[in-house]
Amino acid sequence: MSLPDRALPRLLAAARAAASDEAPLLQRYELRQELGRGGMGVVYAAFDTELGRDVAVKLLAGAHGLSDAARARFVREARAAARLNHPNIAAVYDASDEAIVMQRVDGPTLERAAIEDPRVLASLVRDAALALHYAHAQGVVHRDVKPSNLMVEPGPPARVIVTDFGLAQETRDVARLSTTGALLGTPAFMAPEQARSGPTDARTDVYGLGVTLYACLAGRPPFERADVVQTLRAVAEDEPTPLPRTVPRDLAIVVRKAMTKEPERRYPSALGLASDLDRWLSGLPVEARPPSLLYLARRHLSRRRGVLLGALAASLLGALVFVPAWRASRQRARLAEDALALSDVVAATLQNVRTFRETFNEPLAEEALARAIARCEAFLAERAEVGRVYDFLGRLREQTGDVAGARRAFDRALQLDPGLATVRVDRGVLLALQYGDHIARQDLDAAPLEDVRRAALADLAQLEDAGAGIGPTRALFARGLRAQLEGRNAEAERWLLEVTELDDVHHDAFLSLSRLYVAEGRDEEAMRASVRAADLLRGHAVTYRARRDHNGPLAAGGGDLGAEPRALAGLDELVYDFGAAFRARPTTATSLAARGLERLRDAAFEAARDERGEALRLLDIAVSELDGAFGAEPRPEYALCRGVCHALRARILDAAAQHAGGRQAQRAASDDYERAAELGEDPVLLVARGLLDLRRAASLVFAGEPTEASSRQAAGASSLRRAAALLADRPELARHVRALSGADAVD
Amino acid sequence: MSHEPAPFPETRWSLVLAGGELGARSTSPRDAWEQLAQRYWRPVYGYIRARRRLSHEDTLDATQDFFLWMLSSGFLARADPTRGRFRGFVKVALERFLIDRHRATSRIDRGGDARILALDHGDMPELEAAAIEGRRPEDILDDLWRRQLVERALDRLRQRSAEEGRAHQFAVFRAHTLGDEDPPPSYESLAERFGVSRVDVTNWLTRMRARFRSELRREVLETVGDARELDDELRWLLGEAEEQGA
Repeated sequence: MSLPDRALPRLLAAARAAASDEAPLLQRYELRQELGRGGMGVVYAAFDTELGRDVAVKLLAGAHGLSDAARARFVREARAAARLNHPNIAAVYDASDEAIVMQRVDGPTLERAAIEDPRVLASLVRDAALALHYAHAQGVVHRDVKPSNLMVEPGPPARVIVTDFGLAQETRDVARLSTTGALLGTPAFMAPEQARSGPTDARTDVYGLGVTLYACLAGRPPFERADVVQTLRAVAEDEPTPLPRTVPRDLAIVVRKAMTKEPERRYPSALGLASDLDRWLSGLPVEARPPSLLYLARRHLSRRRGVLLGALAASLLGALVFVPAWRASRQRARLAEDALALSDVVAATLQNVRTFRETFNEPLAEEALARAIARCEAFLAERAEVGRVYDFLGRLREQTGDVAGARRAFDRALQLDPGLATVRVDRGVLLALQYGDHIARQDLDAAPLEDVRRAALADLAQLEDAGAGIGPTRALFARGLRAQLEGRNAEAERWLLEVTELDDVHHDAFLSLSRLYVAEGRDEEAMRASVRAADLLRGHAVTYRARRDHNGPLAAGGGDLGAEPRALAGLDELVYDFGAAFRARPTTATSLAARGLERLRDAAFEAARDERGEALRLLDIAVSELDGAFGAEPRPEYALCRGVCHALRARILDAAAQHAGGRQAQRAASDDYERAAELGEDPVLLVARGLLDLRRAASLVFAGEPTEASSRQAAGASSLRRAAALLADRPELARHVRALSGADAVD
Repeated sequence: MSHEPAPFPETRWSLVLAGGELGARSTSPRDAWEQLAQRYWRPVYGYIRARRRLSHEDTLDATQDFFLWMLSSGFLARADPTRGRFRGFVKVALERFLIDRHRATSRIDRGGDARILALDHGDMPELEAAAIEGRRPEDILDDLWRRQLVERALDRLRQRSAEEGRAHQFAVFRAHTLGDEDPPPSYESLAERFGVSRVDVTNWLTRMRARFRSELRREVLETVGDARELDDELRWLLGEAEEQGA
């Protein structure tokens, strides 16, 4: 191809433009058609040319008019949202200050989905609330929750997906808002504190969920006025028109509470709203109370309206006065529901329990189980003894850990209805796990052990008859257990690993795997699986999910971490889980600590990629965050985590042959571990200390200081032994901790 | 930058010359060299013509001789790619060659197994005397070199776009950069001309520019010794920096 003279400079200019002028994101993502317009920009369907998948790209409209600070905040929030990993949150894949690349959801927005059934709406909003609660725990507030930001993936069951995270800007200036009103869309869904340009927090999203539910139930947003300024005033001051009478009243009360003008009168968290919606869905009394007469009167007085009880207030009060009596009668009516309805409740409960456990809410999970158990028991006592209901009862009791009770329920179910193959499988699984418990506790003569095994196998023999009724994961799990009971370990391992592929927070599968590995003497794998199982009992599923994604590149990167003892990597896993614990109890100290841990995790990631400088920089930040946490509240975990930061620093410096710095960091780590130990004796802490001491011992051997080395080694081994002693209630884990000390120590 | 994907590969131009990069795996050094000559003979031609003021035909002969001399004199074997980019190396080699050639009374012996390189000069217009007048041979070499790289990159972009089913995207790019209009046609008019949306035009141009840049980078990559030189040479090519000596 021969070039015309004019073309050369143009081509060179084009190549220069490729490097500088264009948003680099758009070189990778091909925009296709426009999907919609809304807050801050236009959303396009797009195609990721590198990964070959469909995505949604939001171009920040008017990005050039934004201040640097606003742009920076936009990117920061988008990046924060990109860290969220939740099935009900649209993933953010990529972001620049001009565009955001998101997961493309196939389905309409809640606005367009035209769902009329209040139960379906309530359950979708509940799921959205749980997702938002998870985001809040990560420090991300959405700020623009409204029907057009909730997508509905058609089911059944329909799944809600929260999109457009953290993209809304705070508007400090109503005038500016009104001039750009067309761009930002209607402020009808804004929270009062946003309309007043006040501070926003998680409760702003609680309001957004409330107003979303309101709009879907009523078919219109609560405040529609002639222009932006009037609408904002109404959002800040007016009471919403009451929901139509066709809306169930308890649900209306929940909506009302979520939409209260004052944030402190709303549900304190999205989780609070989620659980009240859940109560309503399960036919239980909701916690929200209708606003008191006094409160309403005050609001009206404060608005200096001439009439104390205007038409609005009168209608509200009229609707609310009769609620308690009405609710009581409905409860009785619900008790008379048939077994079919009960099965819905049980299925929903088991699903919710899983969600609650994944979001660290064991109390809520237990409460839900207790409620469902009570309903089953009431049904059996007051209505009729139905085999299927006993099966529900057994499944629920199994979730509470009441093995004997679950067994009784399954037995009774099969007495009443011997043909229930799925119940046989349920009981078989229970028996197989029980058999495993006996073996693990080594109470070999406690029960006629062989009888348990035979009974379990007899039940599991029904597996093929049960067919599709038991669900694919449970079927695989049952198959794995059967193989394990019959001593076909390789096959069992395959099935169980497949279960964990499908469900990476399947506690019992990890437990069974760990037992299998113990039996085969595969200590390290056993330890990993049992730590995993124990952690899942503590409700750390979300952390595992997050880490699974995080560890992908880390494992692939190899690098220095690959050369480290894998036991220490296991310690890192435990430390990450503290992050989950911190997030469940948000205080200044815990949020500092959680931030510190995030940095630690990022640092570990950078270290694995061999980005040592960046890793060290992140570790500095992590240490200072943890300093702050420890200063606010001197808890042993914070010292421990800071110690881990120092330990990682030591590893990085050693790898870079900066041994002096490495030794210094090891000392700092050791000091922190000491400090943590003074504050409380924790097995995790002891394992951390023990492993660090063993590491130091090893490096001292190389440094030619055998005396010091052997004393370190003794100290390390003793820490590990003490840890093992503290782990008496987790015998497998204890055994492996002891093995660590034996394997590494000389004495 | 994110769209310039590859970190600097292990390939140095010595490997390029040895046939590692240019041809099939079985390519011999000589074949590789021939391909490289094929690629860079025009700048060489321009240099020799400006330097020696030969006729078009004589310059073509001398260009042939230069590439054969490189193989037969051992100059190529002593090349050290860590000491500079290929463009600089060729300039030095050209000076040495012209001195040698001047010394010899006749053309150099093309040797037993040497065969004439099949340089495809069909489309090489004779450089007008005016184009040479008053210009340094090095500058002429540089200009032609740059042009050669751009043409090759463009050609590759065209081929690969066609292979990937994006010929239409390339067509829009070509209309925008190679068309006769001045200033270049607006996105709107391109959208209208090709019957696509403006978003498509924006997308495609963005994409094609980035692809074009990485094709250029690929071309340059084969002629430099390390990552630093790559950046320098790329900047020189794009006219973003004055060349700091060759």
